[in-house]
Amino acid sequence: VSLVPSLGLATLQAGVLLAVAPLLRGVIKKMKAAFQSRQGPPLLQGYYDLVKLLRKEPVRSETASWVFVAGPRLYFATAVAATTLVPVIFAAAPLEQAGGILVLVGLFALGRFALATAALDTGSPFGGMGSSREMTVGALAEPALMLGLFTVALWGGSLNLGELARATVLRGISAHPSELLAAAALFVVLIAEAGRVPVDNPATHLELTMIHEAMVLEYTGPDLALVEWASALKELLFMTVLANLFLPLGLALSLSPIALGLAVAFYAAKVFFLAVAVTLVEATNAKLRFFRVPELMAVSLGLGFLALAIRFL
Amino acid sequence: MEGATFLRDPVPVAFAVRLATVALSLAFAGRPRWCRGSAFAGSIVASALTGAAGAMVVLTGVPRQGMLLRHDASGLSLGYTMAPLSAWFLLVLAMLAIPAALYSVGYLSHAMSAGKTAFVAAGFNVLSALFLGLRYAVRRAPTWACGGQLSARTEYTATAFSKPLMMIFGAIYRPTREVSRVGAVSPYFPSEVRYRAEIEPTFERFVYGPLTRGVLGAAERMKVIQAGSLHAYLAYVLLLGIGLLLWLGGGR
Repeated sequence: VSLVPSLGLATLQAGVLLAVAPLLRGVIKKMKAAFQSRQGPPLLQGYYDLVKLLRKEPVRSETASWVFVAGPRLYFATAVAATTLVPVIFAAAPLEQAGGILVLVGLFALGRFALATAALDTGSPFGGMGSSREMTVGALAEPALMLGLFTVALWGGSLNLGELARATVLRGISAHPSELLAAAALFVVLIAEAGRVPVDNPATHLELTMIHEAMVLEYTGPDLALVEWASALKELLFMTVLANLFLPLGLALSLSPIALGLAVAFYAAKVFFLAVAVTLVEATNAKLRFFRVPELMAVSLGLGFLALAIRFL
Repeated sequence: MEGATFLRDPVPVAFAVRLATVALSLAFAGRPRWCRGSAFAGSIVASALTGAAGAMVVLTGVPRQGMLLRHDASGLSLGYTMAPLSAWFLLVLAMLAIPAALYSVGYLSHAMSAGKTAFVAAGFNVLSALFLGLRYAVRRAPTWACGGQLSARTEYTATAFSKPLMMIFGAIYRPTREVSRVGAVSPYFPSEVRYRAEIEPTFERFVYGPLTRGVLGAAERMKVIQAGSLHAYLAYVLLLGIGLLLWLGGGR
């Protein structure tokens, strides 16, 4: 792999995913509104919000220190960094030599840690409550995420996402129960990590129920824009990983225009399909009480264990 | 510096560019426009160089080692090592620092008084060498508390922070809580409320406890042969030597 193409691809991929991420949230919001017979915000509302936030005057708490300032930036930086490790259009990740599954999970954990410590920094009880809950959900979701990804890694014989994608493309789709169970486990993790309805509700600011929103309550202006943008990007990344590891259909193996065009179309279709699934879950379920969330995570963990066990049968 | 060396090791060059930029922006302190321009242009060049160095390490997978400063007369030297993972972080930070610098040029032009620009511009380079140095004029306001007063006593404590995990894993930790009211007349008019929380040290009791007890017990029983007599120890060495000779040589 030569220097310039990889770097260019990494920048391009990060840029395109950053540009697309708010649209994904808009699509989910629109579909959810349609389910509830509402009109919903315009598809591009996410972009308008980002522009508005980026132009607003930053306000910070009198007691906030550098931890508070560093939180959103580190969160954003880890999300952008994670984009370079994930295969999106090609059956390869731009900077896949740098790391695989473990680095990806570690990056997300680092971002979460940065935001949780930043939320504690202002001394607001809401921030503390939010970060406590976020870390609890994270502590429960992370083993499930690792188990699901390790099952796939065993199939592909590698921890590297790019190599895994290539192995799956060559092998094709197998409807092996182990894969199906791992996909189901990771879907539950996706819902938890993206803060979607049975676990958290991104649309509410009700103090006693919110998790992620409580954590970022003290942020405004450009700081909040970074957090929102990174969260959208994280959601898109989780969907990308799920789509490309379990349904590698259409991943481009060459640079030919036809392969590229097909890859883009297939990628969009797969992510849209996952967005529909997330919307369906969100529209048909009520938010779980916080202490019921561990049960959901236990289901995901159980599915992951089953997937791993069946793999060895 | 000649071209070949420069390509082989951009890190010292980036370091030098940063230092030069700081000097330049301080020199232009009286002319805010020049100062801003030189500061952020220098920062972009330095970020690009650092990013390139990171990219090389990431792509070749070979960690990079080098010298930043060397003064032979005093023996003073400052080296650096760049492992693939740190190279990759530098790369991403450099990619973010360039747009941040571009953004700051416009921002500083109306958010800062002219006199401060030089120091902000110089500070920008020092900071972005460490981390993303995006600074803007920030308004300070008290933390929102639903109209109440916040103090150290209203902060989220470590106990509160870990409480959800304690409740979820209640079967393992067995948390106990005791609240008692103390009042001179009756507990219905408390002058003092006492709170005590405790968790069961499950792992200490069932994992580490038996382990330490086992090791200590075994050591206790070993004392029989460890009586403190030097002659006995020499005899052990002799016996061990003979035993080893028999065991290792006996097969032949």
